Amino acid sequence: MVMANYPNKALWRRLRSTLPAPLPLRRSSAKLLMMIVLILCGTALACSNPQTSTDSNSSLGEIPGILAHAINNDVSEGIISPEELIAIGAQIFSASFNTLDGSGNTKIRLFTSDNEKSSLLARFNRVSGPDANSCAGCHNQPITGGGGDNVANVFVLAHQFPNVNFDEGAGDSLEVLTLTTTGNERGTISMFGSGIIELLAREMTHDLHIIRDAAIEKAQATKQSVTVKIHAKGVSFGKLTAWPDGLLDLSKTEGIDEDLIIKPFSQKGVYTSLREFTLDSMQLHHGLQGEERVGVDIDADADGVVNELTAADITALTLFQATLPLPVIADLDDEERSAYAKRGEILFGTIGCAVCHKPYLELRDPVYTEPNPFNPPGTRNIDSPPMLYSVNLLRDNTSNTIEVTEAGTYRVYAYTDLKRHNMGEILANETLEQRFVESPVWLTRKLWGIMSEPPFLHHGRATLLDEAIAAHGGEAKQSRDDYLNLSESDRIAVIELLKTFRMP
Amino acid sequence: MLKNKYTITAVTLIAGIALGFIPLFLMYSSQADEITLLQSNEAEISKTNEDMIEQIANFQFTEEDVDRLEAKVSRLLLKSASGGGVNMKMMPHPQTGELSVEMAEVFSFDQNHAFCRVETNKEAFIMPTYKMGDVLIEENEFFMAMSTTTIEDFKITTDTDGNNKLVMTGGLDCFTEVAKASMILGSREIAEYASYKIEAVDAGLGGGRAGDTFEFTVYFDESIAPINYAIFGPEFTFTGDMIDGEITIPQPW
Repeated sequence: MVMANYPNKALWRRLRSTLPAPLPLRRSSAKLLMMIVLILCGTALACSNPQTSTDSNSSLGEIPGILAHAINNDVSEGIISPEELIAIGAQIFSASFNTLDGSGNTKIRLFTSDNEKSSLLARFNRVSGPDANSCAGCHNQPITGGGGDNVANVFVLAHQFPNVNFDEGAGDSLEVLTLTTTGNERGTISMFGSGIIELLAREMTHDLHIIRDAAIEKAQATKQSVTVKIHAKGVSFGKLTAWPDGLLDLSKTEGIDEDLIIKPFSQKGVYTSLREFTLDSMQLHHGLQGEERVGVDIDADADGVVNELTAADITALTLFQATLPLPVIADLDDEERSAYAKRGEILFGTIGCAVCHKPYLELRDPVYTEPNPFNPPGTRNIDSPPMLYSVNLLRDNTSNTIEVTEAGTYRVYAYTDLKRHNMGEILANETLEQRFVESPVWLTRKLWGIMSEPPFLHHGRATLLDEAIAAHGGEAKQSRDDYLNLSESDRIAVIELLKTFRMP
Repeated sequence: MLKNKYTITAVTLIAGIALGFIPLFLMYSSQADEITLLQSNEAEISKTNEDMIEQIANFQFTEEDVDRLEAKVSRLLLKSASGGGVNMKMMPHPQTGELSVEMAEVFSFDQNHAFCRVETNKEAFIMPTYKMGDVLIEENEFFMAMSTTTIEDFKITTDTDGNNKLVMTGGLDCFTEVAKASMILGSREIAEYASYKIEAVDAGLGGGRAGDTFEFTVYFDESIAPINYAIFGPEFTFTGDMIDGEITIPQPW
């Protein structure tokens, strides 16, 4: 039994060299991070005892990809700072995981008759996973934390099969599979600005729950059914009816699950928080299990490694992603392009794109804390011990995608409504339903930063923005048609607007 | 002569003034008419406005009525939604690892209840558990029953394939008993609480052959359902090929 590697003085020395290139975080934060890493390295050097060989030997031979884990107590007792956690998160995000970390496909334990060769081959599987050695292996465009090229596409839900190789054998669960019935091919999307997006979703969920709870109360008080419109931050989610006996009729709700929780992550909008998304991703893509899912000192995947990811590691990864920089709207030096983009902005509204790609949502509080109170079972939530940190995500913000209002709120120009929509037949290509979301239904894509992470659409099949727009249908059909009926010059204007949405 | 000259001048002057005044007089008269007309219009518009305000108020009242009637119809639809049947699931064989061991899940639901039950296993199989690795279950040693305790909300819609669909969520009691060689995990008598989401699709007469499906997804919280969490994990969907039964969901309103 191998214990996952915990903070080790000698290994801290390697941390500095393995950290990704300085992230384009807030400048002061980036400097602060580097200072902390240097201090940690210095402390490690000072504290290391040259007379004992254990420390120096610990880095001899092969070592895990994760050089240092975060310790739960350090987080729960507030010993470790958010900046230190972010540094650890950055290191884990970029690490190349290996057997010593506990990565690999443990479902092959089911194949009792397989030989050594096929077992080795099955340890990684590009279709059914684990399908990557590193988070940054896919999230790297244009820099670590970003989106991915088509080569980094994943096959969502294919993990239900132990080891897909289309031979109709045990690895395929004896099923006759094709690439389209095995999993849903999806592109890798950027995590930039995701902390702010999660905060917007939390506030919207809070607002929706207030409306729901008030309707239930009123129904019980009046002893009559009460139907109310449900909306948050100017986005309508239809209507619900509350009955005096407490039963809710959600038949008229739109674009949201029955729990009325906004789920802003994954292209289907099925993940509530970065934490939930991270826990699932680490397990499905890398074969690494979080101890908050399987328990402390439990080798649930029988790979000989326990505590593969501490709860604090997941917090570190979550914070790292939450504090990634915000996309920007490029200022154009070229007068002609600038004029086109300005016209495009007007057209974007008049042809109806802005109905779903709502230019901004208004955030009340930019302070990110963990855990998300709406997390589902299996992920730390409001009933879990609190994590003692909070980070103001806009403290040193320089991105022009944020506009402070006179009321002290923040307009976040992410160009989404965080709602699911039926996008029509062309985009209904998936055969497997993910968490009850039907094939043509997708979460409105955040358009901020989009020009820095081509190709486009959920499966990366559009290499041009024009192609992506033309593939819209369903609820967006009228806007798509209006776009296609624009003059060439006007279409270019819309494209020029979209071209200003970039990573910093 | 001079007198006449003055007279002519005075007459001409008076005539000139009179002639000049006529268009002004005519203009003034027409404006007065217009003012009168506008005043009358204003009164009429004010009246129309008041009527419209009253109509809007009535319309709002009607909208509330419509909402209430729709709610009643929707609740009636829930009353006529029901289903029951058997989902067959294949489990890994202990020797070959192939998914060849049959496990039959019996289910039933209507507006007041839902349950899903695996009475036993006729053959031994491997249970890939969430926290305990692969557990060998000998024949007739597996039991699981889930029965709803609350239905908190429902949603009757038509899915994008045109089939009627019912979603229900709420809480349930889960009884799971897994016997191993030296121990018994869980209990047939003591339940663990969990939340659930049921999705039933009515694709027409003929049950599973017509495309009817029944999925029972359960969310286990480790702190209140530790045994089921250890076996199934935080989220598990109980389903399979529907080999018997029928699901009936009316057309949504």
